[in-house]
Amino acid sequence: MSNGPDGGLGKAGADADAGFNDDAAGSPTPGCGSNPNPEACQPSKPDSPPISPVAPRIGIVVPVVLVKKPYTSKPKRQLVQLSTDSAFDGTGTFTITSGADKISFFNAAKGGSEINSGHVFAGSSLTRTVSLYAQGVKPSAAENDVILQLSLTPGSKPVVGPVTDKLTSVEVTLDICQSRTTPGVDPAVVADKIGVGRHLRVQKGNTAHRGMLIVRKAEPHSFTGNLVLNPLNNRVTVFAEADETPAAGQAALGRHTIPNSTIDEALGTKRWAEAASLSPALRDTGFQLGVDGVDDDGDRVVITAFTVDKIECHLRVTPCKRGGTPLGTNQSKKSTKDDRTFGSGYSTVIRDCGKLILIASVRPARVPMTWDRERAPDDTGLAGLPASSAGADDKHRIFKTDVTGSFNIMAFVDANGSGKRDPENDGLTFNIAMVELTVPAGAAKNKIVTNPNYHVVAFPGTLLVHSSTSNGNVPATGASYTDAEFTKHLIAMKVTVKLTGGGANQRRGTERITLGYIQQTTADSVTGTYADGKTLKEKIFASPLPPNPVTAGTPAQLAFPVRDTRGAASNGSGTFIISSSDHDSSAIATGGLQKVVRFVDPPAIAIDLTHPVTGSALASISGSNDFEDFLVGFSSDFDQNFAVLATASWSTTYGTFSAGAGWTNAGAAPAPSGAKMTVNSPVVPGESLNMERCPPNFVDNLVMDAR
Amino acid sequence: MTQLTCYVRLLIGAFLLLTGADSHRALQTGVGMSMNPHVQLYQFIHSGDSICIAHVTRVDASAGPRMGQETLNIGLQADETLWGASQSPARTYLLVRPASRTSQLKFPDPLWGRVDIRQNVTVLLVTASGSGRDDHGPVYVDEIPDPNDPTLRSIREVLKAERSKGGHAGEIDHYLHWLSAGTIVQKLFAGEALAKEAPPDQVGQVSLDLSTAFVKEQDDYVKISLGTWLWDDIFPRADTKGKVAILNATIRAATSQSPNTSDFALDRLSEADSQLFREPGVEPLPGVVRLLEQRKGKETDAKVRQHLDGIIAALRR
Repeated sequence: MSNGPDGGLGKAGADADAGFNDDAAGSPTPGCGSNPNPEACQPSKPDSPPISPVAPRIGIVVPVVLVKKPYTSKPKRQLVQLSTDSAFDGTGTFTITSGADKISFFNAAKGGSEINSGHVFAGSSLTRTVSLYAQGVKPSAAENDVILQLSLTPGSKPVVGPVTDKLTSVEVTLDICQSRTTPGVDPAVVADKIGVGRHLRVQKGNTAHRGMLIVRKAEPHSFTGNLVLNPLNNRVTVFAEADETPAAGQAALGRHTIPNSTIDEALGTKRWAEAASLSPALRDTGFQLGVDGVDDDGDRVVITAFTVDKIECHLRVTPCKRGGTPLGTNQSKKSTKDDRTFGSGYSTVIRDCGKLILIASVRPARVPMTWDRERAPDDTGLAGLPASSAGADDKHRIFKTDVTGSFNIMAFVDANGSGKRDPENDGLTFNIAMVELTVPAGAAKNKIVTNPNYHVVAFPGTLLVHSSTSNGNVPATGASYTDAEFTKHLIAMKVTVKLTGGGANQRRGTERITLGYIQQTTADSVTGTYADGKTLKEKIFASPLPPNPVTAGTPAQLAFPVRDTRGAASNGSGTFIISSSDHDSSAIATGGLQKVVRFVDPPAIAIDLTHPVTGSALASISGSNDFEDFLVGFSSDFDQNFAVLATASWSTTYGTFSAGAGWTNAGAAPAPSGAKMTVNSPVVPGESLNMERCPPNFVDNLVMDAR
Repeated sequence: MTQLTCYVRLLIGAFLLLTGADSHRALQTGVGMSMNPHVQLYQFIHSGDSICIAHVTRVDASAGPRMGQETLNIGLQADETLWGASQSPARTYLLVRPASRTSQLKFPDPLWGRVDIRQNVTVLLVTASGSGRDDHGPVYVDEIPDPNDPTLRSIREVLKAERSKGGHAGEIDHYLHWLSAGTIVQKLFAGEALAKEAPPDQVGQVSLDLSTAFVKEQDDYVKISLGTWLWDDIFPRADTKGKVAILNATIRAATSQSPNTSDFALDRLSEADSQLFREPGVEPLPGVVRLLEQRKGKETDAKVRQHLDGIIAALRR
């Protein structure tokens, strides 16, 4: 709004009416022209007693206004009162004689219409006092550089000269900084301190970093008042410049003042912001900076107080071929720490065992997460990092198990845009060791040994053929035994495996790896044929088992392969064939761990000498037991994920029987697939090789079929 | 079902008649009738296990827990403690096994498979009472068919000697005597004890004596056991003289008629430092070079072949 060259008098009445609704500014006194001289225009009433002239008044309680920022709350406008010292029927002109561009005036504390310099008020309004409200537009160049003037134009009374008063427009600035990219070097300020702001992890055990606040020297720099820094709510606290590192005994400052005179013109004054409690939503806390006694809300920075509650690491299990475990079922481990030292804990997987899906749980859920990984600093002689790719969203990340060693996988809030886990980018760490399994070259490292010693052992009514001198007695799973044990069993497998993990000795994680053999039956054609043509066959039936022997009906059989061990376990070494052992373990001087993995198997058959239904005498035997073996490894942290290092197959027949000659070992022989196992390098998942790790077992579900 | 299995030993003779006997018939009537001489006595006593003689006081069989299984409730009464702390004389153990006779015969239980489980049968019972094991169940069970079983007798002798052990030098001689003239139980115990307990100042002598025993031993199981301990426990600690003794013993073993022994020896030789074969005192037997050449022919890895070339060259020098 602009007033005309006549000082706005032509419109004064209308303006006054619009803003102040009663006494319209009067017309100029007749004969005084359009630019009346107050002295000259005093009415002459020689017969009346002397009339005291009317004096203008400007009343300012707080001579400071704050420059409004678009994102602050509606700034508190400062009251400026215009009045006269006695009843007045002339007009008064409000003029900003200096600094008119620094402060705006309104006719209401909120909203209202702007009152421009030159505005003319009716005397009656001034008599009752006109209230204007001042709001900073830009900072003063110096204190008191905005000068207001009220001058009166006489009505029926003479007037005295104009009165002036002064205001200062102050601009305050509060910044919050990013996290440091380099220790000891001050960080850059957050560019969008309102739309993005800063994320700070809620303090826990003095582990969360604080964010640097910078209180800039208010403009005009000569301003001598006190600034005030104030948390927006109790989700943040503020600490003194010396308290960057959280420690016991430090006192939060709360709302506090800072004399502007003490603030460095170039560097400002630092404070440290700390997240005290969780933000339910993004950017719902922060700080405001104002001028004490004027307005607290001269500038703001916003903060989101977040927590990263845990990182879960998921690895898919080896699916059971029948029942139990749907494809895609995972096992998981979690970390609630942010400790990159492996002494604080870690999980272990076998290299190339599958993809790891890392999931970060963060509150508020919309806080963006960034992922990074790094190799443990003490890993020796190892290189590379696990390949990673995007997951379902920023809370998910996929890591391949494609390198050897120990690693910190970190989910964090990138508070400086580096994309890296800089020291102050708070989050959590999941420590993991990836252990590589290899079979060293050489015949001695990978052997299939056979020691056939087929013989019959007496049992009433039964042809019991054992394949070896052990008569079926084997060491327990995990037992300590040597190659000497091989001499007592039909078949044995022995593979030397090098385990390479992390750390200085390349053994980190190897202590959690167990190696062993899963053996499965792939075919069973063992048959007794009787004089009347009837047969008795080994069959593996589905549970619930039919009565033994099966003489009628069509009970369901299990499809091959069927696991060959005992018990209901489908995890860990419970899946291994009895006698499987990696007890033979020794450290490798140049790094890593060596395990010699063995198992033995002394299969047998037991066939009735007379057919259980017809009573006919046994006339012959035929068929074989067929097996497939998988040298597998699992981590105790993910004991349903089996990585296959080597495979072999073998079968055995059990000799010849005739009614006249009885049993002989003619034709009884083991038939392994070779002199050594076929090595997979790298390891492959069990399901890719049709491996069955789960019950039911050959041992438990074998029933003779007499149909 | 226990009634069925108890006939095993009683009807062996009848089975012999049933199946006939000629040179092709590998009837083994003795297997299972005597105790296991390969019992890992050394490991038991060094794990803190308790060893006792007990008898079965009752056997209760019930169906389940799953179809096709049966559960035996086996009551045992400890009669004599042979080693370790005396534990509760009365114990009860559960055994879940396939219910069918065929499966019981085809798949002997890994723990109870050496016992024909019936009332009053006497067993050697090893239980975990030491800190070295996690549970307190049986570690090992073997039927004692005869109080004078030679294996049981040997076990008693070994345990008696161990109880009186006082850490004096004479113990080494005792073990060496067992090695040269003992039973299988004694040889295995002595071999493992010497290999794992020999003080540093006696490793040299032990390497020579154990090497000699390794050479002389005829039983495959014992021989390979001695060889394993020689290489795993003594060789890394031995001086050059001892290493050469072990090497020479293994070279001789490589030419054994036993495929098990020969193969074991070739494995060890093929992985030894080729420089050691150049030491004075190494005795290359003509046959071993041929065997190593054959081994080299099976190797597909160039470095392994090169390593074997080095050994062969050293032996041919």
